Amino acid sequence: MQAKIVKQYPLGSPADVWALVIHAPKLAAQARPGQFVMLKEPNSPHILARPFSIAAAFDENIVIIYQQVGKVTNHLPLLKENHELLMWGPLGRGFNLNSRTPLLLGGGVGLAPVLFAWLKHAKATLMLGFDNWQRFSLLSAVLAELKRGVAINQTGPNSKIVAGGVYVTSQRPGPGWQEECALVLDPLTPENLKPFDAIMACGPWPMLKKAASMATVSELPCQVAAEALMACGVGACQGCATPKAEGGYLNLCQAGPVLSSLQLDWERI
Amino acid sequence: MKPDLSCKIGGLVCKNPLIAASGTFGFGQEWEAHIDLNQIGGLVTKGLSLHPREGNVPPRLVETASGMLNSIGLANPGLEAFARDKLAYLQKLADAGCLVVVNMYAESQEEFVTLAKELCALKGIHALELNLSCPNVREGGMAFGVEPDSVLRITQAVRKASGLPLWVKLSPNVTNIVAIATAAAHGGADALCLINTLLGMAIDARTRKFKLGNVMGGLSGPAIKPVALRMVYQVAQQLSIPIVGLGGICQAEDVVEFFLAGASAVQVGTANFMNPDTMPNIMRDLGEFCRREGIENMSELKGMACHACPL
Repeated sequence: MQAKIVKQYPLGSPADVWALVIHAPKLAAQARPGQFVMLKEPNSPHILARPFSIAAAFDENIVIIYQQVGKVTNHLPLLKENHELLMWGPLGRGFNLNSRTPLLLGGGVGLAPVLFAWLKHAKATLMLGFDNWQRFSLLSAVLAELKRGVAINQTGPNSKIVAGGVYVTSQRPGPGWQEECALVLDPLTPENLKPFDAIMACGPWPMLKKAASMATVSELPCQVAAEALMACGVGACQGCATPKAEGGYLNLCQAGPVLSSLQLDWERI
Repeated sequence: MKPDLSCKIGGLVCKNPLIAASGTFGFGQEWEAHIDLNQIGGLVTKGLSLHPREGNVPPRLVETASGMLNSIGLANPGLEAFARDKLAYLQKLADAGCLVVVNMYAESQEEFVTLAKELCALKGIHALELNLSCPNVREGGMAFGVEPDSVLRITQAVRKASGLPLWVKLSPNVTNIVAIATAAAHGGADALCLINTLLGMAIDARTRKFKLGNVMGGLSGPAIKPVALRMVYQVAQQLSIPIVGLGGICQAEDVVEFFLAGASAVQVGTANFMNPDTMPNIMRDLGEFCRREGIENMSELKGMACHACPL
């Protein structure tokens, strides 16, 4: 389907992460947290569309967050308002948000799935980890755009986590940072996990793996929003094969991208 | 005047010359929400084997200059699950006038025969496409498709086993495509599908790793169109058997070029990933092209390519 750029702006510093707001009324109305779109600049020399998680959907727009990591994403910031994009979706299965007090975990700038889940769940707790303290401004910028004023708690390995809050950790703290360095999972002691009845996570595979085993130990259900290379996003190409628990592979685009951690064979990931 | 875009592939009539290529269209339903399937002439299913196949170790895809490499490895649910879960939807498409072709893969001649017999007993299938050309599997596949003797032998055996029209999809990874095509034609094929993917590979310069889990994979997309066009032309020059051309077709002009080279119909594969609306867009543009060029029937174009004028 055709979609138009409403606007895009860099998120925080360094300015290589962008929020892209796209006008796509039908898609925006259907989108659920954890779902994704296939997106492509129609005149790009790159023939395949790329999957992008939906970070928010409001009015008739969706928001995606991307980092400039290669030729395709380096070209995107050059596109102006009203530029037409080729896009199809929403695709895949999103989060099951039927839990009372979920803990949402995001590792790095690929935080879109949990951000969208947080926007849709009034009681959710959001906890994000970044490699660099400067990335925090990314979250502030997104929240300002979404008109969600909220206190962001800088968090260290020994911080207390309270249900309903927003927490950020960093591997590299900067000036004025009161807390120690931490990975996003570091503060999740059994004590800190007590208020929660579910874990929902997105981020790099090693982080998801750790989150899944942490959930198992604490006997919490865990959903992960995973990533894979894909060409179609609808189950036709079977490129996004991901090892499943009972052996063999599942198509991440159809069975996921949000999966129960029990569906995956973590040994083969 | 409205141009006639219908086409004939042997005894089969197709409402238009655009058929979705195997491996890019699943079993049809996958694209349901994104494409108007009434617009397409037909579809070839994902390669089906007697027993389920998990496919190759990921990563299975990589984009290349004007193309993509895949090493899916014929992941499919197997015949039983196909008949139970996938066939009803295909029958619905068939009833609506869509040509339904099942791409079949096996690791031995016996297995091909069994599969062909079983498929022949099912309703809603118009033709079988014999996959003698998949580069991504160790046994069968391309191994069968690169020797004229084995192509002849397997085509004959499947021909005997099934009353359905038989298409044979050939590998471009051969030294003499005409010899292979001749063997398939002698074996009793009703049509030849040219071409499957070209064997290729990709390496990450920084990590020094192969980009595909299976190391090598099949190259498809616009990058291979000239090769496909050349092979369709070479075969059409020597044999009168109908040819379904495929390889990098993205736009109406590509379809016309394959007809001019000698094809009777075409398949669209990788371009479905480039834009799910590729086939509906080609249909619109093909009608427009024919009107502009005064072409009443697509078959007028078949094999009509001629030599360039000397400067």
